[in-house]
Amino acid sequence: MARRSNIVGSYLYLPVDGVEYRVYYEEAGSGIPLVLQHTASADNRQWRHLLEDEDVTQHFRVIAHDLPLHGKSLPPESERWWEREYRLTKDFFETFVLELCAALELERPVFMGCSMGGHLAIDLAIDHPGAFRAVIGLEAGLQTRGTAPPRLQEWFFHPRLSNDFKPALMYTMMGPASPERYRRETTFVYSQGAPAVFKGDLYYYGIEHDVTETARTIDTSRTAVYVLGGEYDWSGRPEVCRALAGEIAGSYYRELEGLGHFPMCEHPERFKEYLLPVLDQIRAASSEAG
Amino acid sequence: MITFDVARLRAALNEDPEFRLMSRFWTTRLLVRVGEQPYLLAIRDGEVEEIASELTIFDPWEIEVTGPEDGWEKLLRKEPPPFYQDLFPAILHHGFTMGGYLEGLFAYYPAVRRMIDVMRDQRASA
Repeated sequence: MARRSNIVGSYLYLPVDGVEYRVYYEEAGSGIPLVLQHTASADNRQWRHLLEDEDVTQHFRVIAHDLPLHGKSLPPESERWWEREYRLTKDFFETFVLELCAALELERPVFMGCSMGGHLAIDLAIDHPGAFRAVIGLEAGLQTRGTAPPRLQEWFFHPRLSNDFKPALMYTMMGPASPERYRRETTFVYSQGAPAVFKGDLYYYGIEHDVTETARTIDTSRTAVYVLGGEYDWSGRPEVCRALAGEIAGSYYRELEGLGHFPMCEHPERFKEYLLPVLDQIRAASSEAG
Repeated sequence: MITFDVARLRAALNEDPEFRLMSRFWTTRLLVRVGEQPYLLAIRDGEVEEIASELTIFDPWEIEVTGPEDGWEKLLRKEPPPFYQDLFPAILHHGFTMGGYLEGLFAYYPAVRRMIDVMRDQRASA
């Protein structure tokens, strides 16, 4: 007997900075909007477990998009994108997410992102206080320049290295006890990223993102901040995540024991044990705020 | 001291479907130093033809991977401690090194990564 998922996929023609993007997103559930941002060069399939988890969707309207040039969100038709190297900037990344939330008429959503999405969670809390009721930064840090310095980034989009290289490295970022079927699936999703996109995303992740001097300005009474970091993530190492949380008064931090850089898709059951208490706190705070 | 039965390791690599798939077209001489103990893998067109556990002055190699013995002991555990789960994080955080023709190493990183899995299985069953 075939089973049908409750996830609904849609396309939105979304203008951002004067360019129209055909954006794919999936959603499930109802309640507090929860917007999910995938990692560099990946797509919203990383969130499939959460989208199908009734413990989450009974209280949250869960929305997972594909950033332009990722997954099913094609490059914009109006642009000659093939004539320049792709590069994700903080300005575009923030604006895109804000425009998406506005277009979907989400009222003070929760934003959760992983890796570059985790970094963005913090940048959004700094630059747009109160726009989100809470942000959850998975594998987020003050900065991660050491992981992806510019001279190393050249090798992430290089004609002499195949596209197999990047997924193989991503496999090494996961916890060794995470189920192999999910580690392989996470790697498979990476194998489908367009060749230029990983390096382009790392511009934001490894070069542009730096909140060393600004993280402390976050007002957690306007946007609550949760930082969760995997024990085995060799980029956003536990000390990296801890240092970030240490700069933000009133923030919440937990180390994800046994997990790596992709907690939501490498070991969804284990990740849920850490996430549900966070979502419960957000729900309780939302109820108190009326 | 960590040692491998080179005949068993060679057979295990050649019989491993993932290693064979990811090493397709690979011809190289890969030196793996487990502490002081060298293992020189001669790979031709994806097949491990020989693993030598002694080096002579006439043995060239193209790629070299090294690590301290206590590091290898952690890396080869079934559930390694953080950043010993693979060579790459062990190089970043635990004093392992790689040298030589690194473009070749990273072109075949999926095979190198799988080789470590096979070595881990061999160690567990030794």
